[in-house]
Amino acid sequence: MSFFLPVTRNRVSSFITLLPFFLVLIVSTSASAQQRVSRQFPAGKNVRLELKNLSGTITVESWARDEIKITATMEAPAVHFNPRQTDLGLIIDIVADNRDRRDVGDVNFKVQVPIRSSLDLETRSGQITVSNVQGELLRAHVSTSGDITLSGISAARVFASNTTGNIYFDGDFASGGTYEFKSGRGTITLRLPANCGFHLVATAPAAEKIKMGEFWHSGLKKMGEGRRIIGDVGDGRASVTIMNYQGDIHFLRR
Amino acid sequence: MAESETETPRTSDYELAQRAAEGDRTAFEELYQRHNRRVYSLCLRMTQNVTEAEDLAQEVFIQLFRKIGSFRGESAFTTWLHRLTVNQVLMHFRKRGVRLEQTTEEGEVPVQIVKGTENPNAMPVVDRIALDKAIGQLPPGYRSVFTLHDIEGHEHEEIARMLGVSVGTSKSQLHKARMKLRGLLRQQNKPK
Amino acid sequence: MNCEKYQDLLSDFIDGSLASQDHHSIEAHLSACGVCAEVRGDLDAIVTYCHEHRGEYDAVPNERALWLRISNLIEAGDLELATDLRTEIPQNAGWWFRLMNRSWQMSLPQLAASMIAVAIIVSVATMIGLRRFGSGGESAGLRSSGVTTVAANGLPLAERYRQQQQTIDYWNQRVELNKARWNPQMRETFERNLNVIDAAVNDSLSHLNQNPHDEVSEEVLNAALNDKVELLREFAEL
Repeated sequence: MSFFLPVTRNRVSSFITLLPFFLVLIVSTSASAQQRVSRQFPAGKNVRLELKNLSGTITVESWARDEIKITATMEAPAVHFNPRQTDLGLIIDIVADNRDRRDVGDVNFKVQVPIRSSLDLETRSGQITVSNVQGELLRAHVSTSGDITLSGISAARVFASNTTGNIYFDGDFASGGTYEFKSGRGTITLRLPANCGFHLVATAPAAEKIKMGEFWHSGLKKMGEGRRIIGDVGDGRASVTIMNYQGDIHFLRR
Repeated sequence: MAESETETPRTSDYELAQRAAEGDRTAFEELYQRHNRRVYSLCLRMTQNVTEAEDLAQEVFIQLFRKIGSFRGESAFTTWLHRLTVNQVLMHFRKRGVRLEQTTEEGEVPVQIVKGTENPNAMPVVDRIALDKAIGQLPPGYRSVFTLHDIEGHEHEEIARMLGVSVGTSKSQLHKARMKLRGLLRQQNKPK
Repeated sequence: MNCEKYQDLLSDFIDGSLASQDHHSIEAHLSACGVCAEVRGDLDAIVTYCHEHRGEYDAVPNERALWLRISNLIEAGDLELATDLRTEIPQNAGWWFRLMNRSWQMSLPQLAASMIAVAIIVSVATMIGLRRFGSGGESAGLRSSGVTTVAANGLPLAERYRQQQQTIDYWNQRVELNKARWNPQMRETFERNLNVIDAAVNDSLSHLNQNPHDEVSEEVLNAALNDKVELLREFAEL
């Protein structure tokens, strides 16, 4: 027994010494199980990206190059990933490309696009983050759970919808533009410049859930015991429709 | 199953279309009843996917409702609706990035030239199930031309116009589609 | 010409679109070459089968459900048919959104006539209102109930709800068929989110039970039902 104790101590101390190496090994093994694919495409005259994912994150940001770069990190190495360049823009459809397959895990996309790009992004579950894009259209749709974060956005048409998760929009509304935000359960936050002008139709489950902040004025009309607010803010030229089934709607001034 | 639309309908399609254009929803529903199978079948044959075919058939009837006022009866209603359907399917292909002039991702499928004196796998008697299965394995470009020419009965000139390809391409794709189908049907007959 | 060249011409030969010289030449080759004759026989069989079965159509898996989907979409988009729209409107946009995005085009005489018509309607309504107010009148609620319980398309709310429910049942069946293929995480996420939408449907229904004239709840109900169909449709394709 006296022989056993020192050996155990030695083993414990060697284990502690080797622990960081084990950790590095575990992390690198799991990382190597993933597959990362990166592709670059020349951007056409009207840059448009249509991306339909099954699950995983989609992160899009603008860059100075006239190219679209897609980096996909796939949990399952056998996932079919076939970007197609068409007259309508670059199309990536993980759902259609992997129909009837059971082994499709998360695919996490990191996309870099020219600033003027139109984006049509959709995922069955997972977060969508878009920053500093100023194209004609921005559509971000999460069928189930996932936050949508859109910042530095200036587009004539923006549609953001999810079922569970927050929606955050930080940008500007173009005169005559159309903006729709819809969530089932989550907070919808709009951060806008003080001089922003729009016609608003905002609907939430209770009056206290719509917080207009500094954008409130007496000209706005309340309907259905305050569950809906309708009216013009500023020149009222953009059309903004917000619906939240269970969560809050917040307006913040930039 | 044969559709009953040819069995002397009480009201002509043109009359129904006019009534539907004036907002008569029952007339529009009657048109749906008469033609939904034709529309759905064409979508199904071209896409080979039940869900996509249903979605496309839905879109065709929505488009039909929107455009029905522009039907002047110069051509048969079925021809007009047929064109609307083909356009909808082609738009869907384009949206999905399917290039009809290119038949596979790798390019053209080579035609297998049959040489020698004997072919051990005789082609079975063509039946619906086997043919459908084989058509399903054709690349979209071949499938479209084959469906439009051999199943739907269009001329090459019309197909070329619809698909935006040359008559020569339409003819060559049809031949390649038929040869490929022959090979696929023979393969199905292969003893395992 | 070798067999390869002859086989290239076989489709045109079968379709009768070859020049007579080529036609005769290929005919002569076919009578001498068993292999090419076999290919021609096979292609002929395919083409003949298709010709003979032309006009046979597949049945839509659920004809009625497809009609309901179409009908619902038409009703939802009915307002936008009368005039062109300046902006593209999403399928599930609400009535207010559609109304506000409509572009109106009127000539000067049309505009003048409309203004006169509006003036007449307003004065008649005011007169009737004043008379009723003076005589104690009948309940305004009774009149408005006729407006709010009958949706814009002329169908009572209950009927629309029933029709939507049929569409939902159809897509639900499709989802059930595929569900076994999804991984457990996907199944759990789907169920959880479907419950969120169902909660919104139930909330609006209970509001409408308390106040059948509640326009906001009616719209939320429509939106939630549309979202439910959309969610089911999106997952039916997986």
